[in-house]
Amino acid sequence: MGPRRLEARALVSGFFETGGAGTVATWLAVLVTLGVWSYLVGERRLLRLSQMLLAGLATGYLSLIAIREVLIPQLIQPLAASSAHPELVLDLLLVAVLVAGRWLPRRVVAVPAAILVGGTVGYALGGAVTGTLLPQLAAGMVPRAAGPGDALAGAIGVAITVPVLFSFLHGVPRGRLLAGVTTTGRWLMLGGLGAWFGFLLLSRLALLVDRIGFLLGDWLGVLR
Amino acid sequence: MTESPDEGGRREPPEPSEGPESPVRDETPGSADAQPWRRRTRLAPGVRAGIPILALLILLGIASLVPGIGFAADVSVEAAGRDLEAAIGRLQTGAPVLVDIDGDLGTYPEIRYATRAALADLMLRGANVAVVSFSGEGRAIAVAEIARLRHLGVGPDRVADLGFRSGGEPALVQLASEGIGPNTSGSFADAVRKDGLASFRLALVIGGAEIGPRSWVEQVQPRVPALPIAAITPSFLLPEVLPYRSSGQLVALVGTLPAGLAYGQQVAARGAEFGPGRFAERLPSGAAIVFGMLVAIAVLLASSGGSLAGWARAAWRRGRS
Repeated sequence: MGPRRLEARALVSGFFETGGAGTVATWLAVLVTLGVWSYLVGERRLLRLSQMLLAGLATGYLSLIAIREVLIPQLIQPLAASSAHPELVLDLLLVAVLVAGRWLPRRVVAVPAAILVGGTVGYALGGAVTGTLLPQLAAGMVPRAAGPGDALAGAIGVAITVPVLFSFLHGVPRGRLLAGVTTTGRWLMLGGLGAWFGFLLLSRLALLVDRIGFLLGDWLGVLR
Repeated sequence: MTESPDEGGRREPPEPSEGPESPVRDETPGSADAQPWRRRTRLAPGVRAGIPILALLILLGIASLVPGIGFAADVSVEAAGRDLEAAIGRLQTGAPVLVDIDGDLGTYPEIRYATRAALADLMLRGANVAVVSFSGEGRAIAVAEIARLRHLGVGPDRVADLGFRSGGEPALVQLASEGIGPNTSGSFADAVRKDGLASFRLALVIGGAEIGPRSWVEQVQPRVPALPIAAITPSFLLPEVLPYRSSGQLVALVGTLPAGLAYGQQVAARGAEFGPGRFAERLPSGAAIVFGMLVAIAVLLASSGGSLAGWARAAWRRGRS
C-alpha cells in the first residue's frame, strides 16, 4: 500500500491515521469484519471471538468513561476539594447502595432504584406531554385553508389513529362494530410496525454497504 | 352483545395454517376473535396475506391522484438537504452552534457522510461549534469527529468539546437549564457560558436510539423555545421524528442515505473547503453503494427464499389435499 492509498483512506474513514498505526487499524478492522461474516459460511468460532472482543471492549470503554468523565470529575473531585457539597455525600451513598445491591436487603436497594426510575419516568412523561403530545395535537389540526392533500392526510391520520387507540381497549364488552374497529386497529398497528421494520432494515443495509465500501474501496483500493 | 363460541355452536376449531397470518389473538370468550360471525368467510392463506398489500397499493394509487401529495423521492431528498443548508446558511459568522453527537455505532455509517457535510458546512459559514454527547457510543463518535477536525486544522476556538454528560434525558434537562457548566475552558466557552443554551443560534442533533431529536424536542424545546433544532438521523428513526419536521418543531431533517448524499453534494458544490482537501473528495463510492445493495438483495433473497419456497410448497400441498 502506497502513501497515496493511505491518504485516500484517511479521507474516507477519518478514523485511521496515516502511517503504521493506520495500517494496523485498517487490517484489524478488515480481519474483524471478515471474522463476523465468516458466520455466513458456518464458521462460529471467529464470530464468537469477535463478539467477545466487542463485549470486552465496550465494557472497558464504558467503565473508563464512567470513571474518567463522571465519577472522578463530578463526584470524587468535588468531595475531595471541599466539604461544601453535602448532597454529594448522599449521592455517593446511593451509588454505593446500588453497586452493593446484590448483597443488601431489597428494601434498602429499592430506595435508590425508585429514585432513579421515578426521576427518569417523570422527565420522560413531562417531556412527552409538553414536547410531543400537545404540539402534535396542534399540528394535527387541519386549517380551513388547507388543500385537498392536507385534508386527505388529516383524514387518513384520524382514520388510523382512532382504530389503533381502540385496539388498546380491554375488559370492555364489544359489539360487532367495535370488534371490527379494534381488529382493524390491530392490523394497522402491525402495518406500522412492519413499516418501522422496513426503515430498520434500510439502516442495516446502509451499514452493509459501508462495510463493503470499506473493504473494496479503502482496503483493496478497487471500486473507487 | 357478544356471543360465546359455544352458544352459537358454529365455531370451528382453528386451523394450524391460520396462525402466522393472524395478528395477536385474544381467544377469551366474548372477545372479538372468538365471535363466530367472523369465521364465515374462508379465504386461502395466500389470498389473505395479499389483502393488506393490495389495500396498500390501492391506497397509494388513490393518494397519488390527489393534488398536493408528491411521491417523487428526489424531491423530498433534495428538500431535506435544502432545509439543512438553509438552516445553516442563516447563521452569521461566528454564530455559536451546539452539536449533539449521539449516533449509534451500528447505524452511524448511514449518516456519517451527512454529519461530516454538516460540520464542513458549519466551518464554511464560520460558525463556532460546541460538541456534546449523552451516550457512550455517541461520545466515541464525537471524540473521533473532533480529532478528525483537529487533524484538518480546526482549532479549539472553533470547536469546543463539552464532553460526555451522563444521565440521558435528565442530563439534557440539566444542560437546557444550567447551560454548558464551568468545566469547559476557552474564549468560545466563556462567550456561551453566560446565557446558557439561549446563546446558541442552532442545535444540530446527530441522533441515535438512546438520545435523538425526540429527546431534544421534548426536553430542550419547551425550556429553550428560541433555539432552533435541526437533525440528522438514521432511517430507522424517521417514523419517530418525521412528525416533528411536519409540525415545524425541527427546522431541518436529513434522515436517509440518499438525503445525506444529496446534502453533501450541495455542500461540496459550494466549495466547502477546510483543512487539506475539498469535501467532495470524501464522497462515498457509488460503485460500492451499488455493489453493496446487490449483495444485500442477494443475502435477503437467499435468507428468505427458503422459507418462501417452503410456504409455497405447503400451500400447494394443502390445495391438492
